[in-house]
Amino acid sequence: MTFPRDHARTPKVLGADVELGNFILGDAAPGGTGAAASRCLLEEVRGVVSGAVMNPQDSGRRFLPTNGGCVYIDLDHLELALPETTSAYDHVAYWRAMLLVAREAAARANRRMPTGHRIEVVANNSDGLGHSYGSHANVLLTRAAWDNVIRRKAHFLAYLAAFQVSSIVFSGQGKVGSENGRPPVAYQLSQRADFIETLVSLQTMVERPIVNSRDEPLCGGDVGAGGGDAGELARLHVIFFDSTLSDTASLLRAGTLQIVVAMLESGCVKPLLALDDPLHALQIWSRDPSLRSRARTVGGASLTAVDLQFRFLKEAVKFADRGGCDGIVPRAAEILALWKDTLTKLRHRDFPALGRRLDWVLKLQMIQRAMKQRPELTWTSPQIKCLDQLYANLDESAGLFWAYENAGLVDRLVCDEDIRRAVSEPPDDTRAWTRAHLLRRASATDVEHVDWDSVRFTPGSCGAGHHWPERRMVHLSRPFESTRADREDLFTGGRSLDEIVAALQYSDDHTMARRLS
Amino acid sequence: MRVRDRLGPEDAVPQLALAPSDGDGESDALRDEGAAFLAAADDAISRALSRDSEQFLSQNRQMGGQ
Repeated sequence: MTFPRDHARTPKVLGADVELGNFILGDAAPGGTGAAASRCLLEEVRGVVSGAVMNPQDSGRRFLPTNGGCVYIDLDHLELALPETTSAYDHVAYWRAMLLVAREAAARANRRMPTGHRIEVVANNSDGLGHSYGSHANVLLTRAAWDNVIRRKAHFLAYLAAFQVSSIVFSGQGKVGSENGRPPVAYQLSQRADFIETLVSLQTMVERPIVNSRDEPLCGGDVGAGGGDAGELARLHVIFFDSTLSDTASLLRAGTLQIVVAMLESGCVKPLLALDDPLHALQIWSRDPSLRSRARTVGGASLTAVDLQFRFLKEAVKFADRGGCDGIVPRAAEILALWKDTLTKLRHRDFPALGRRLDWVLKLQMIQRAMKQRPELTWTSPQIKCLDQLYANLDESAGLFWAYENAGLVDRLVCDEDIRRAVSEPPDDTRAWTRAHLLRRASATDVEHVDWDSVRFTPGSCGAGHHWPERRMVHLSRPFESTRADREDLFTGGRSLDEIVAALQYSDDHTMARRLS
Repeated sequence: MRVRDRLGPEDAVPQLALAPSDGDGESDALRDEGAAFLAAADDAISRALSRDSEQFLSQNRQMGGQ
C-alpha cells in the first residue's frame, strides 16, 4: 500500500547550528572570557580549514569550502553550522566533523596561549551559572506544513511539542542541579529544561519556547515574499534540544524529528497524544532519572515519557509502513528500529546498554562512579558540577565522554573515516555540494557574499583572473537540489569559474521560467 | 539557605542498576560487564577530580546564548 499523495511533501533535509561553551581557564576577567576565547577559536578555524570564506555581512561568519558548513561567533560562543544533509546518519557524521574542527582549532589556539592560560571548549548547553546556549536543529518542510504547525492548527503544534518534550529520554545530555530559578534538584535528564518557559514563541534568548516560531526559510527569497521557493518551502527551527555526543542520541534526535515532521506534513497527527501541560511534563520528566513520573495527555492517559514515546513510535511505524517516509527520510527503517530498541531498553531500565547510547545515562553512571570513589562528594560538590561540565569538554584528554568512547564503550554509528570525510568533503546530496565547490573555485576576492541559499560574486573582481562587469549571483534555493549528481559535470572538464557561474545562472533562469509558466 | 541544605532525601538520584531490571540468568554476567564498563574511565575521572574545580566553574562563565 502506498502512501496517499494528497499532501505536498519535501525531503526532510536537516541542518543544525550549535553554540559551544568557550572560555579561557586561568584568566579571571570579571565579565568572563567568552568573547576572547571565541575570537581565538574562529581565527584558528582558518588554520584547520584552509580557504574559509568570510561573509562580509556578518564579520565573523566563515563558510567552509571543505564541507559547505560554516563557523562564526554568536554572542561570544563559537557557533558551528552543519552543511545540509538528507540522511540523519550523515547529519551525525557532520556534527562530529564540526566538533573535530572546533577541537583542532582549540588545540592550535592553545599552542599560542600564554603559560597558565588555556582555552576550554565544551559541547553543552549550560554553564551551570544560569546561562544557556543553544543546539538548534532544523528540518525542511513545506510552507503549508509550517503554517499548519505554527499558524493554523493548534493540535499540530501540541503534537510536535509532546513529541519533543518526551524525547528528552534519549535527547538529553544530563545535568547536575538546577538553574534559572527552578527548584533544586540533584540530577536531571535535560540541559535545556530549566530554560524552556513557554509553549511557542519567536524568542530564543528569553522565555525560550518548546516550539520556536522563527520563520527563516533560507530557501530563497524573503519571508512572506510569496511565489517561487519562498512560497513552497520552510524550515522548522528547533531550539529545544540538547547537544549530544553519543552517536545514538544524536541520530535519534535528528532521525525521529525527520519522521515526526514528515507525519505532520502529511497530516498524520493523533491529537490525543498531545500533553495537557507540556511545560509541566518537561519539568517532572527531566527531573526523574528513574523514568517513572507520569504526565497527563489531552486524551486523559497518565503516561511516562517512555510510554508516550512508544505511542509516537507506533504512529511512526504505521506511517512508514504506508510509505510515508519513502523518498523523504533516508534509512527510515533503521531509524525506527533503533528508536524502538532504545525505548525498549529504557522501559526495562537496561542502563548498562543505555550507557552505550545515551548521554544522560552515561553521564549519570560516570558521576555515580566518581561518588563511589570519593564518598565525601555530594550532588552539590563543585567537583561533581565540574564533572558535569567536563563530560562534554572537546579536549580528548579532559572530556569524560571521549574516555568512554575511546575505550570502545559507546556505540558508534559513524566511523572515523566517515567523520574525516565529513571534515573535508560536502554531502553529495544537497546544495552544500555546489556551495563548497563554488567556494573552492573562487578566490576570496571573487566572493562578495555567501549565504545558505546563494553565492554572490564581486563585480569587477580580478581575483584568480576573473573579471565580471556586474554582480553575479548563483541561487541555491532548494536545499535538495544543486547536488553532486546535478552539478558535478559542470565542475569537471576544465571549465573556468566564469563558465560555471554562467551555467548555474542559466539553469536558475530556466528553472524560474518553468515555475512561472 | 544554600542549595545543599535545600536538597532533601526526595532529591536523591536513583542509583542506576548495573543490570536490566528484568535480567534473566545472565544478570551476574551483565552486572560484571556493567562494573567493567564503569571502570573504564576511572583514570579520566580521577584526573578530572584532581583539577581545581572551583576555578573551572567560576571561570566558565558564558554569555547567555540562543
